[in-house]
Amino acid sequence: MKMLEKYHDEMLSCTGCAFCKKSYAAYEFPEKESDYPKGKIMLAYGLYTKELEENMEMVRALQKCTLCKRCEVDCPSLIKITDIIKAARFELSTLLPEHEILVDNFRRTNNILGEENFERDGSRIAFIMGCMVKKEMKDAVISLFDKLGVDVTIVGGCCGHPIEKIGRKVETDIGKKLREKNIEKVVLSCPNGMLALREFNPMHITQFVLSLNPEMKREEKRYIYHDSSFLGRYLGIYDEPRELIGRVANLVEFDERRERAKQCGGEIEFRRAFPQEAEELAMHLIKEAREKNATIVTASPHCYGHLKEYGEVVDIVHLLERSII
Amino acid sequence: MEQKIVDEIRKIVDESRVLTDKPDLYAYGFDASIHHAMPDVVVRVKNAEEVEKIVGIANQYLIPVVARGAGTGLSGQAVPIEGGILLDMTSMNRIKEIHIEDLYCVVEPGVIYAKLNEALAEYGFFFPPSPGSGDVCTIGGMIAANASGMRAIKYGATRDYILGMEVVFPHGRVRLGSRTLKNSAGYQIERLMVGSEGTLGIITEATLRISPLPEKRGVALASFDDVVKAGEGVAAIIGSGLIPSALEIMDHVCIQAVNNAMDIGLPDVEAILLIEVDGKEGEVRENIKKVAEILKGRVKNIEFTYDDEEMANLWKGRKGVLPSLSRYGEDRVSVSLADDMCVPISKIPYAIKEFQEIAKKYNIIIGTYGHAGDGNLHTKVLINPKEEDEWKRAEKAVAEIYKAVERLGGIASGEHGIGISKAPWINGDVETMEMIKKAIDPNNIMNPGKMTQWKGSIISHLRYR
Ligand SMILES: Cc1cc2nc3c(=O)[nH]c(=O)nc-3n(C[C@H](O)[C@H](O)[C@H](O)COP(=O)(O)OP(=O)(O)OC[C@H]3O[C@@H](n4cnc5c(N)ncnc54)[C@H](O)[C@@H]3O)c2cc1C
Ligand code: SF4
Repeated sequence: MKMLEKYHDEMLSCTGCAFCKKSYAAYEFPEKESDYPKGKIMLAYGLYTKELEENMEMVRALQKCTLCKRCEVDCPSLIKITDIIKAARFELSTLLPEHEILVDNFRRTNNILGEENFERDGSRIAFIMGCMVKKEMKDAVISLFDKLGVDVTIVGGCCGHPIEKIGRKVETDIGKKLREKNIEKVVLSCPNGMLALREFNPMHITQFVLSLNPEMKREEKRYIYHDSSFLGRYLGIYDEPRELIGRVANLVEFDERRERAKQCGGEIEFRRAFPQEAEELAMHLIKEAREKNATIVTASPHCYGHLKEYGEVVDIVHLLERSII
Repeated sequence: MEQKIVDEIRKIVDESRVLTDKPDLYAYGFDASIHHAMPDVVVRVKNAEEVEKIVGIANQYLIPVVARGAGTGLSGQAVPIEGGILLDMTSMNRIKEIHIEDLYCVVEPGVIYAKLNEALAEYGFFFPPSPGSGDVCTIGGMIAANASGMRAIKYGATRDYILGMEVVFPHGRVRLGSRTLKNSAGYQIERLMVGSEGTLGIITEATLRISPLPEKRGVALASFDDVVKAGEGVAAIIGSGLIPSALEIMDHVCIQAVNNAMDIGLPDVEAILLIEVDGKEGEVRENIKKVAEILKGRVKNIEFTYDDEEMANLWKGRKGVLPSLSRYGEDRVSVSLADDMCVPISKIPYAIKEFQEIAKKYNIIIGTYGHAGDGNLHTKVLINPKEEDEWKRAEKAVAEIYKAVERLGGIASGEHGIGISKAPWINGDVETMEMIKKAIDPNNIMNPGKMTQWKGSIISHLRYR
């Protein structure tokens, strides 16, 4: 129990107040106690104290969480809820079958979707194509960099972060490639990759585009920005996407946004294992966007790939690509 | 529990809502108290018929039945210490009727307090008891614990809003009370359910009186360099005839904990009072001025606000005291012990002083805060739960605290209830309570082992390993 040992005091500090249930009030899917953050902390504690033995029920309960950190905003004791859940996942010897497939894909192809990666040599500015970006928006990325006049190096492959979130350590070769290519600036559109490649001080695509300040054309459309949990609550990037959307169109906001933004269910490892819950999370956002007569803009390929299944959505990469003159 | 009983339950409630897997039983075994115990089966009931049939089975096979709302109880009330059937009431969460012109609403017990008030706010009304846990706790849990909160000083507790109820007793399902605002027709058994902690029956519906929302609120934040002066301030405000809609006190330990855990920036002083007044706009401003005048000479500093956001922020700090205390540091976490005594208002400063002396004597940290306006204090004991010795010292300190409370003319619980953690100090006539319990629940299946029935040390069924 090495991983959970680190969080022993943290688990004891949880008062059991259940304030972390608050953000779930909007949803139908929390069905039972272990669906809530408090319940998961208690399961982690039971695992740690050996009062509980691992079984499939426990694996499902501990994996049924996007690690979005929304509940932490409501925890008055500042408990590191997601860190505890993640540590507990590292203690589990079994994976869900849906997760086995992702890990297997990664090991075979260096891509959790099991797809071929895309790479290209260029300057010392690198864009990490990753697995989700390649699937969802490869051509738009290439065209965007062309329009920006940047001869970008493209590094492919999965950063491994979705695998780490389910409690398995995998080696990615992206860091090695970046060093070999003497890359000076690393740009991503996937917040998972930004978290995995923190040591390279990566920039999000919105930060990169803003720093170049390109000329852009406006369209008279209403766009509503969906804060990705990982870009927002984990990386603190809230303003840059909004600034860019505001330059090219009319920005509308969700009632709950920035630190309090709702999770869309799009993280690939979550929606593969819990499609029904992921759909319910998505539909809350889709419904609000429709009520506000606005098209959703995402800034993460995980959110985009998921939300587009249910309504009108563009990723900020698409929006920028068509707005830059 | 025998498999055939679980099979019988599965005939009543569909498979997916009957949980027997150990992780589920384990997770449901906690509330917000220091206790933990596992039920044999959890049933996520959806309607009164299901409850009635399950209670029937329990009564037939003599199995304990424990109702559970959100599990925010602080004294172990919903912890099934004798195992048995745990009824998760949270799926019974419909607001069934709202009758503004008749001043009542009808709800299922799993409705979350804040959700009900969201719905009532659309009509300019509210259900006033306002417990600090109101964003998550359920109406059923509130009734069973007679919950209240900072507005009780003006608006009263849950019991003051109970008009009627549907309850499943071991002998069957009954309707109690009425839909009328007044009722002198016999025993008020619906009121007996208030504070019964699930030991008599399961509430499956409640008819609640509602109140119009005040037009305006204002809050004064008064800081003191001495907790006794703050206590005197409380008595002076109440003595003046002014009834604030909230009057809360926080001592230095609590202020420090909130400032460590939350970005609210409370003044770093010995004690603060938060005084809220509500009513018509002019009246609110006048009363806030009156408060400032009353406190002149006692107070170090006083500020006020009528801004909704600023007021919400101050209340967020107050509501966050209890959980924030677990971030006090020094390896200590906050445990729910001696958390809820009530003393005559004028005795508050003496109570706080005594608690501080007791804390010093036993080398533990005790934070005191609470609803000073109605004499309801909350203390929080901070200990290292891994040290057995600290539990022993805490238990002795708790016993002394309650002795002091009794000496000051107070009682063990103002709003959180008795459960296990306060059982040795339950007030009132225990013999009559036990007679009522026996008459209604002769087989002792309803939440057994709690309140008058708990005889052991309170440091039992600990959730900390
Ligand atoms: C941070 C925090 C702050 C709090 N602040 C306050 C406060 O300001 N004021 C206050 O009064 N309390 C407060 N509490 C205590 C607690 O929230 C209240 O007692 C609340 O009413 C419990 O509701 P619940 O739904 O969580 O009930 P639970 O904890 O699930 O159950 C409490 C009791 O009610 C019984 N019960 C639940 N549903 C039913 C039913 N349908 N029929 C019969 N019995 C039932 C249970 O058996 C149990 O005995 C606080 C708790 C926390 C953690
Ligand atoms: S994680 Fe935080 S909010 Fe949730 S029960 Fe524990 S202390 Fe309360």
